[in-house]
Amino acid sequence: MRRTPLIVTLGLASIVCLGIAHFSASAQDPTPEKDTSSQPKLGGDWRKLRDSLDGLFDQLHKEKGIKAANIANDAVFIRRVYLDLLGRPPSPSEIDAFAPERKRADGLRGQAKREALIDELMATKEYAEHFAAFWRVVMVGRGDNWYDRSLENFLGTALHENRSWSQITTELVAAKGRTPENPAIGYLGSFENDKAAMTGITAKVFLGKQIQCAECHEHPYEDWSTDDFEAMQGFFRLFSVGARGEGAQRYWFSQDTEIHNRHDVSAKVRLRGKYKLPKYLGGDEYEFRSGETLRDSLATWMTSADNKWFREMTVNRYMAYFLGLGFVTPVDDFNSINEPTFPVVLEVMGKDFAASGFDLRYLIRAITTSKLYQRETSLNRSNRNDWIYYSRGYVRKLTPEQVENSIRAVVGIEALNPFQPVRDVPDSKLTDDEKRNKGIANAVNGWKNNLHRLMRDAYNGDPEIRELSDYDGTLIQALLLMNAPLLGPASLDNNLKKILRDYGSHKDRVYQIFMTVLGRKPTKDDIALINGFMPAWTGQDEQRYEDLFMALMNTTEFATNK
Amino acid sequence: MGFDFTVSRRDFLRASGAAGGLMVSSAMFGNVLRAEKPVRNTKIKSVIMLFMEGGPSQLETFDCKPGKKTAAPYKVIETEVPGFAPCEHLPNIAKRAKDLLLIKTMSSREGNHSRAAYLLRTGYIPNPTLKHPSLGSIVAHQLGDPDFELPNFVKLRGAPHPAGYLGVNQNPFVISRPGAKIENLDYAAGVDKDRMDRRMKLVKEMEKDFAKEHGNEATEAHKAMYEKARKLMDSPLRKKFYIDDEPQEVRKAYGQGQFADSCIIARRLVEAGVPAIEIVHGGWDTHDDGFKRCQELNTAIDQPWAALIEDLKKRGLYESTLIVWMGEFGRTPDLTGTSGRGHWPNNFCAVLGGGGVKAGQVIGETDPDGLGRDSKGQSLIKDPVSPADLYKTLGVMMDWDLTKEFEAGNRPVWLIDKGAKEVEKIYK
Repeated sequence: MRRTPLIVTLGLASIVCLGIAHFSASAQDPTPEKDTSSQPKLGGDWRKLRDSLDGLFDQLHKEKGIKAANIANDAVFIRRVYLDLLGRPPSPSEIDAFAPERKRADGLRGQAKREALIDELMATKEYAEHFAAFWRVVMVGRGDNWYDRSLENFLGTALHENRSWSQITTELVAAKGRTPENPAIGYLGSFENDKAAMTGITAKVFLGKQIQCAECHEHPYEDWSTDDFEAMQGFFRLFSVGARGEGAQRYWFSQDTEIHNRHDVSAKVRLRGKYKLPKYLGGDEYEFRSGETLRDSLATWMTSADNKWFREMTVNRYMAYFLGLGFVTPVDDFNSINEPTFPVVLEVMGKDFAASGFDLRYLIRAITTSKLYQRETSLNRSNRNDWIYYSRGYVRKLTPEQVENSIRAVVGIEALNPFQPVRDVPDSKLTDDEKRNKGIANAVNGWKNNLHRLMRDAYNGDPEIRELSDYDGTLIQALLLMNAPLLGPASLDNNLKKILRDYGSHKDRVYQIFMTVLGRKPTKDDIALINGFMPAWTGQDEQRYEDLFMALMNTTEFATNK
Repeated sequence: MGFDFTVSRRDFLRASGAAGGLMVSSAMFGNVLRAEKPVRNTKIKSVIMLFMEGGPSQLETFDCKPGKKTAAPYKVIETEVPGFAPCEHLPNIAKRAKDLLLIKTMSSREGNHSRAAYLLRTGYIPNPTLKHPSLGSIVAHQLGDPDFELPNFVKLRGAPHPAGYLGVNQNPFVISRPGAKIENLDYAAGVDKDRMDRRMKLVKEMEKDFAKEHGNEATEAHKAMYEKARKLMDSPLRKKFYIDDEPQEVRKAYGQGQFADSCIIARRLVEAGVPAIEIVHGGWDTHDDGFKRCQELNTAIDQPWAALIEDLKKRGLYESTLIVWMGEFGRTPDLTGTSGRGHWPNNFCAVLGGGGVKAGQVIGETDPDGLGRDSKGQSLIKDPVSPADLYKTLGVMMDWDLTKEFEAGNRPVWLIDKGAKEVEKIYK
């Protein structure tokens, strides 16, 4: 009843609005789950989910008269998938190993080969580190406090072991014990015992529900009052993070007041003079279970397979990350006037994700092996304006983390100056070789840390107030890519020096520089362009090719995934 | 074999493919709007926002209630302006009473830091489907010359609040360590203008090919930022970001510390013609040890702020520079055990001065005990000013395009909330 006039006043003249009455009707329909006859077993096979997605959108393109872009070739696919899964472009040797003419030992070809690559990449530590960084930005931003590091460390381990998303969430929301044994405490520790922030951010990150405004007043378009907020916040009321010790010995620990029985007054929240039990957002009262903290109970409710919000939030976040477009935009704002573009698809994907045991890699496999993910970004008359149906790959701006990883990989300092362990003794007792190694290690770390600091400054100026949204750090990013000492100090080896050392001819050098920086071969046009410009460039070879190398790092192509 | 999605399919067939396009593409790459240098009927040329992050206590700054139960054990300084009686740790500002206008009754409902800061920076409550530009971005857009060599909005410390629908050119240029050398502003060692030119010429050509194949959303944003960055790198006005060549007596007048340095830089930027500056001074979230911390915070801002006014006056720039002092909310009348206070959006202070402001007056009144609300929760303040009202007033004072409909995604949006009312007393 209430919806229609609201939409009109807000003037949401987008697709979201055009289809809303219908979508919400279908969202309220009995879920298709019960009709098991025509549905495959949920969570059993990501290929089935993928095939359904492909089939549906193929059909849609046909009906809409859209000619979808072709499936991208291996060269385009490999850069895309490396950037998305590892946060960096592939190296020339990785590209070469994936080339169509290179046979895999297991004989896999075509799509099967791509599927195998995706699995191989997801098994690497780099994958875990990249997604640990991704999730920690979502959860706590880009700061550099104990809790940021602790959380990222926890996520890295958890993602590498492929713990389920429900387990990871539980370990964060109900974290117990102390650091460093349990680094998961970093998540709740980041709120510095600000329970309102803890509640608001937790609802937003894991459930896609933006309830922060209800801390102070009724939600403008949901039925959430300040009481609902307080009742939800009640789950964190008996909890705090404390710290002991100084310097390197300092550690952080969680503490919860024990609840003895269901009538225990300590569990209750005072609302308008009355003591009431905490309430799961928009729903039931807290259910007492002996030996459990309030947070345990909250985590159980949040991560239940029946919790639609929990299932769909992460599906949507990964759709948006991998495809440049989720079903709900902004990605973490599910509300009654922001309906999904494809509610039933989201619903089914959410249930399938839940049935898989909240297996993130299951979800990633279904998305990244789909045609939706693999299409070229090329435009034609009919798909040029499609921002809904995934009829082409959407060019995506790299995240700051991807930019930083890409710079590191492309410049190659760490790989070319591998860290040599040095005995922990005063310099005077080191051998000459060890001294040299130590000098190199320091220089490499200095370069890496400086790059990280520059990126953080460019994207997150203020660690005090959480600004979780991405920022167009454009001017600062441009200055960084043009002027920062990205190629490292002269004492260190980098990919450019290596190319100039290993390849003598102009043609080979241009080829290698393209492969290294942009992850692709130069086209005929590229070569013509460079041969038109470069002969007039003055200076030594080092300078001329450095100019080419740096120019490529300053292109849109470098800074996007296409 | 697969899942049957047909239940939903007929529903979204009606959805138009083109409608969401602009919204999504600009969300990915930011709007790039080309604009002419605007002409405005105002004498205000620059705005300096002094943003006190964390929520400065009204009761320890400009709305003290000495002797009352919850007051700090501090005196106030009575001034020639009735009602303008700042805390004793703001003696220099007290001397400037006639140059300032105090609003005692800024009022909102947002008591969460990030939401309230958003509201006070933009005049709108946060809306997840669109980013409203902050004051600096609006001023940059409304008063700034798009071809100006320096950024039209310089932010000294703080988070980079994006300009949203006004386009990436109005994003703040954030200086994280004011006064220190700004990194990457200079050509790298061994790279002169010629070398950078040839790199960028090649980039430009490659961008054309990229746009042909993948569309120009990404390349347009890229081009805009690189053009601006190059202009900035080559501008002699860059020295305005630094204070090394500022005479000793001037530095002395402003005093020491990051806020003082930021105020000097702000004045230099005003001189250079930068229309929008925001200085962020944090630490005001005084839940604990509030009395002592407020004393320190007041002391840190008092001399530099007063010196900034004085200095601008001396240079004949005060009448064309509007200075706004405020934070995201005030603090509770009730004290915590450690003389701290909680968040209190019910009533808090803002101080305006300079261009267009009818200074030497106080707007709004709070109850004598400073409780803000009675026991039934009824507000006790007179003449509340909402953040949107303040923004509307600033908009009128600067002759912004208040009726112009901007587009964010495919929905209309205005610089100022249409329901806002200007507070004429501020300028009339």
